[in-house]
Amino acid sequence: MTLCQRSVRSGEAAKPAYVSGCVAVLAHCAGIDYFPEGESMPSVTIDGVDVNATEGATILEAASKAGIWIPTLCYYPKVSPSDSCRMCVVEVEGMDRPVTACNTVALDGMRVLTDTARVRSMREEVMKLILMDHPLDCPTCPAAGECDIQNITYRLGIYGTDFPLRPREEPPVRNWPLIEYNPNLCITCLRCVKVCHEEIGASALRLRGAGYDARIDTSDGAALSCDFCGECVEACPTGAMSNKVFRRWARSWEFTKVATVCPLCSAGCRMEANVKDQRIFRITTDLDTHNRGTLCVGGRFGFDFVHSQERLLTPLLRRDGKLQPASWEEAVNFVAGKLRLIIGESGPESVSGLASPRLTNEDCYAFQKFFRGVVGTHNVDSEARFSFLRVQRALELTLGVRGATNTLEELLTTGAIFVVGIDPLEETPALGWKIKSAARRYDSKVIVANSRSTSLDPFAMVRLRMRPYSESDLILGIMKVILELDIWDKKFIHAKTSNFIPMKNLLDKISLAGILKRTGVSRESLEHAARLFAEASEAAIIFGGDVILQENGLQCVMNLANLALLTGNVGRPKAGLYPIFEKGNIVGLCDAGIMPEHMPGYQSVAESRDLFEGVWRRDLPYSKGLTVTEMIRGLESGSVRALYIAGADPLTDYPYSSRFAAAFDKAELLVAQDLFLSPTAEKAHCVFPASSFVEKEGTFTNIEHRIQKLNRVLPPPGEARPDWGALEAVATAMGRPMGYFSSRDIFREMALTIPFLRGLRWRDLDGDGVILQPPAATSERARGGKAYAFAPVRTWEKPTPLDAAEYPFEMMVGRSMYQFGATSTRSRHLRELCAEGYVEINPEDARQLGLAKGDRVEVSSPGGSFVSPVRVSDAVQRGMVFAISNFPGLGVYNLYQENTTVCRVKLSSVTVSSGS
Amino acid sequence: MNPLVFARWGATCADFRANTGLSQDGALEMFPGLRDLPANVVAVLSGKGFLVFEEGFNFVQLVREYVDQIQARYCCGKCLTGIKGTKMLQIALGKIARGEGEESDLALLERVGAILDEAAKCSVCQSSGELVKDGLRYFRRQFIDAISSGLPEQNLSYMAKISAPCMTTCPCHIEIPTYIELLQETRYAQALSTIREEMPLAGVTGRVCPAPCERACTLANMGKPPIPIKVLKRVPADYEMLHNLPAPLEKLPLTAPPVAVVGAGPAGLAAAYYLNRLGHPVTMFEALPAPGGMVGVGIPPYRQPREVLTREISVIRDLGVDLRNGVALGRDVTIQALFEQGFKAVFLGIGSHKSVPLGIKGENEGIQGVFSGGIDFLRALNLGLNVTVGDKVIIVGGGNTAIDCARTCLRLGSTEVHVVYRRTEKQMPSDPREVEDAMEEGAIFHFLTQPVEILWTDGRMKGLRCIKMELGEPDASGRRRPVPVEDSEFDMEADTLIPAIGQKADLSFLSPEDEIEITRQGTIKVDKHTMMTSRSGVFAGGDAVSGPLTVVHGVAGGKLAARMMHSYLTTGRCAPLPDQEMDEILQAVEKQTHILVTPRPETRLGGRDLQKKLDMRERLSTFEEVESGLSQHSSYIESSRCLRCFHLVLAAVKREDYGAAGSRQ
Repeated sequence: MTLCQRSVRSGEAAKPAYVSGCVAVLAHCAGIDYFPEGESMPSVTIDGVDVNATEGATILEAASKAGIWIPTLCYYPKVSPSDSCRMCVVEVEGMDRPVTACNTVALDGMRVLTDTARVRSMREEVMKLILMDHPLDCPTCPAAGECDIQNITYRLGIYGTDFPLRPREEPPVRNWPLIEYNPNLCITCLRCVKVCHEEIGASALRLRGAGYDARIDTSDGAALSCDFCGECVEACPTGAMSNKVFRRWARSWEFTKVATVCPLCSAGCRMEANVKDQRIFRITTDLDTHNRGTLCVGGRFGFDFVHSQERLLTPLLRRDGKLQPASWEEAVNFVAGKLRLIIGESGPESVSGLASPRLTNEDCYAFQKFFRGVVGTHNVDSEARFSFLRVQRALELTLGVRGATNTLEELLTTGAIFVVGIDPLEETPALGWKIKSAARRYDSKVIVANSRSTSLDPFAMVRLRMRPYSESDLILGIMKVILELDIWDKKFIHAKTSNFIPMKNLLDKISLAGILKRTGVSRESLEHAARLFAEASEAAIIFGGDVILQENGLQCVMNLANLALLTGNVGRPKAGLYPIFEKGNIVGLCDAGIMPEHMPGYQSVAESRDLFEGVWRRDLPYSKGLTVTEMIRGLESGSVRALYIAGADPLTDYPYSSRFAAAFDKAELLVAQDLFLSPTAEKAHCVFPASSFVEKEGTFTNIEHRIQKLNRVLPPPGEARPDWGALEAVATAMGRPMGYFSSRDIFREMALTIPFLRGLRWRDLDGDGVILQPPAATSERARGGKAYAFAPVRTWEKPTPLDAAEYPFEMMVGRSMYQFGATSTRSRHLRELCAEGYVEINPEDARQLGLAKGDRVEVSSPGGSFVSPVRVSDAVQRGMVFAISNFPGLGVYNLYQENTTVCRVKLSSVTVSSGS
Repeated sequence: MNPLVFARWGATCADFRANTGLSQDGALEMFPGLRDLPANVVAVLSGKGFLVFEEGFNFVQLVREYVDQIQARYCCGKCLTGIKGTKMLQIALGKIARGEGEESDLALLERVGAILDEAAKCSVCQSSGELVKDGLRYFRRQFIDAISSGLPEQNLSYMAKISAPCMTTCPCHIEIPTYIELLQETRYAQALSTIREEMPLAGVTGRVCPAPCERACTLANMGKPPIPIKVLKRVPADYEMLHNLPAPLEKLPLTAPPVAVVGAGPAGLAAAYYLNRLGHPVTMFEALPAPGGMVGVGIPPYRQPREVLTREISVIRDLGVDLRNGVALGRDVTIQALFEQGFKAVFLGIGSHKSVPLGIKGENEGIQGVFSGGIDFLRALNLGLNVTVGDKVIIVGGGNTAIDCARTCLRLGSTEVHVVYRRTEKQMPSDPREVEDAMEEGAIFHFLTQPVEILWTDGRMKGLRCIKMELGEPDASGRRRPVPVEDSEFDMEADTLIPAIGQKADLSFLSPEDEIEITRQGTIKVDKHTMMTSRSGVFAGGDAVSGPLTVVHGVAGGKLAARMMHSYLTTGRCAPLPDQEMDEILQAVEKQTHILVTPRPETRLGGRDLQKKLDMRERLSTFEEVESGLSQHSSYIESSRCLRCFHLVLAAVKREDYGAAGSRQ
């Protein structure tokens, strides 16, 4: 039995590592051991009920454990208590004044009374003071039904106020995007200000003024400009902070709430779609989730792409050179017929498929089964070829894991965090916030290595701003310094690893001076970083696109694994490696077998042939499948005649997309399944309308290998179908149905065929889902009989192309903090924050080129060019261009050469100025 | 000063209006601090009660002013009862004051007063409730009169100041409860900015301050461990330093008249910093090759790592303060020359770097192994000079310098370190924690022991003859004076002697032409309000004025001098600020009772010794910092224990030339 399953439902088995708040400290506390040396369980009596509280728990928490209700208004479990509302006053025997339950620690032997005449009268008087100028326009208030004032007054039986004061009549603040502040409804409880600072670290809000004039304002007094996570709205107990996007369309009590998982990034936050009239109006989440009730801008506001007018509603067939609406029957028959024809003429090897990390695990599984079982080929691949598979390969060779070694929650309390080649706030905000919290609440030493400045820089103790693409050497440099300072973990290396000496011999041949020169980093900062990392009690490494996508990506990830091994930071809590990749289900996609070399669950074809042939009742092909690159070559040479693409948009997302565009033109059959008419779909012969994540069931696997369940929130629009449904239809039309009637069927089959899912049932995935860790093949690594193996090291320098003088800028790509891949660019809400792609250049370069913010610039390489607006920022070094890649149509990846994200470009001003 | 007319102070109430049999002498007994109140004060209102000194007072007016001040400035806006309750009071009192009040308003005042008293978060708003209740109880007539005919004009001006026991006690008056609350919210940058408002050396004082604030902490007065205010001050400073964050200080245009600061110790640095913040171009002259004064050359690095001081000095220099090391007044430049160079004012913060001699036989014989003084020893060492100590060292003295010398010798490899002190351990002026650490590290203490004579042969020290002491009658300082025990002389073997019994300012550089008067104690004479010396335009502060004190005292002196110099240079005159006047009232009021607030029960965790100490083996082999700061987690726990003892004191003053504006800057 290889099921290695850990239940992480909050509530049970809480561990210190799972505490997410500073307040943490007192506040989150049920079950948390703060002072391990002197643990005790104070026993308190609350309203006559004996309660065993955890040491450090407050009276409020102890009461809630005992099911005793104490009213609260300013208390918010995510943040430090403000004790400003006085609603939670209770009497404690022996104390002459009532105390606030939210921040008074329950001590042994305390006798607490929560509902005496004295505290009742205090609550009533204070509530009447609150109500004295609070507009009682509940019928028109955005918070109606969810307002704490409403709920408490009702429950306490307070019907109005007799303090004579007119409501305030200040103008609401309406010039912020997505969020509105109505000062007249605000009770300055500071929940928004605190959550913004303490939980998110954006610190965009503050309290301005004194006394009655004190109001919430932005930190700089200008219009709100922040992460737009919407936590302030979620935190607000009244209607003061409101979500602009759903106002006036629905009341909170009209919603049906359906639990689902955010598909936009690989953190996989749990959330609830609030639905009325088959429309999602907003997204909420609970404190009782692995994301602790926190969502980012994408999760909270980006959902509306599912309601975009541009959604595909019917299948499209190319007729007379144009894509025209067609019935499913026509489209399916066309595709099935064409596939049969091509297979008949050229064999199944002439058909290949590309899937996308936006698909569910079940879609992915069905996709590969379609190719392996129906078409008869291993020709399935995805964009993971350029990214995640490299990571998996490198980690498998060294550590024997696939993906992140530890959970996200552990990052909060780890000793040191090394963040390389990624701005987590842009890729996976949930993880970025954890790093900020770790740095600010748990003394975690953060080291940031990036060629751009990142949002984590102010939280870092060392910032290594190296030359672009020199990450690999930088890591070798750190390793050399660690060896030199003799602060490596000899015991661990001796007991658990092999290949240390060969690795060290190679490393010794590389000169530190050369590394310093190539990376442009000083010896002092390298040494500082090395010390912080190696001397920390435990240390984690987070790395992302800049590391993974580069030509030298595999080596770079192996170097990181070497670094983790050198310091003994593998195989124990709070340490390890966290590869981060932008798209939501990249881990699930790989698990499901979207790759020619492995069957689902990373099983070799040879070893699992019997299993799959038995379950599928089909013969598995014996041929070796094609990778993306081979597929393109095949299309170019004519050996591949049909390409079936589900969810992916290679023309926007794949490097060297111009080559793809040319190859697609040669395809005899190009089928696309998508939500929108993407640049790829535009070239297809047949396009199937797909269901979005809210229109289907299925599972997603996040970066920590947590499998969670999507629930169907809405029916698909028009005739859209889930991706597996379209595949099943085509398979049936080809006379070889796969036998699926629902996602659950597929999941059930996966639980049979994928070893690490074996035994898992659909209902096991409720709530926070299940964290799994697929075992990796050990043969290559474990030859030395040890658990881990060092990988050989080599130095690598980005080659300077011959035309460097002509193309003086190094282009790096990433995404805007407000956008998540191409789908989210269809969200009206997110477009309000970031409507188009742009390039960032250094102020000095801008001056030399005569460019100012908003000017348009043509960025060109030998591969192609695009035009976009310019932003000037010293976040990028001189000679660098940072481009936002996820807007379809911009074609940033056109500029790239094959199999690399290194790209040199030149910039030329486009004369039309946007009038800035 | 006027006789007391009416007072309610805590539970004590005294009415002298009618012949109630109480005499004014009784008042002084009941309220001993009254002697210190300035004569022009008509009334004082505070969280503890009120005092009125004028027959014709109107309490409605006084309490109205009190509530107005709270609403305008002092209510933090973070407590619903406080915000809305005091607003309600303000409205009702305003109505009454305008003569538009109704009988029902009194009931409203009563009710709001009660809920404020009961449910406000801190004593600021709570006190307004109590005072309104007082008013309705003792002066109901005045309220009723005001309802019928409004308030009479009163020729008073008001001064208000918010403080807390810790804040008043701190010589720099740092807004301690504010930064503690900010730490609870993990707002390190803002916490540090709050400290910098009043004290630019947070990292330094977070390590070496004797922390009088902690003794004043309400929790300490309740018999519990106080808030670790000193170490908490280190938290945001260390955070900024360890994260290499730029200090969030704006570089100001320096357009005010240029000034010279002599001495780059705490006083000089503070003067330079605040003069810079007031727009003056500042040039600092430091006689030693390195800045920092006694902090730089007197405190050993295991207590005060150099990089902390260096960073805090560089923050000040980065603001545009010019620092010139190795320029000594008297040797390289004179006061007159400074004025001639164009400086419009001069600050003297020269510290007290001269050791006080033991005055025993053999001290001045040039014996090898006998040092001239503890600070000379530490200075030489800190400046990187070659200093050698023997195996057996005797240090004489009981102050922090003596302990620093002892622990330094242990680190330099001495095998036996003896500290000889003529009084008892309890009477030692040094920080008890330091003594404890020194004992842990192996220093041997000899209390009630006085050196008599140095023993030497061939120019080398051989030992020290001492005599036993016993405690006799109390002396002027109130401590029992040690007197020698007859025939108790004994010899101690040693090869090194470091006398560390005191230090004073070295004013030998001053010549009569400088026109700087010196006190009999050998310090620079200044006006205690303006910090100006006998020479116009020359100010002084720090140890050279006060005698050897602490870093915070130095900073406080430098800061006050800076503000005075600014006033002198911009207005041409130099008078006490309303703030200073208010400080005096505040101190007088606080002297009567240690706590101005209603203490609440502390019901938080914490109060444990959370600082970590370096392992003993490592301690003695290096000069690395011994005590760690607090972890962020402990910082949260400790800061959340703060009771927020803010209180507002409002003084009504009969004087035209003070504006009604509050004195908080």
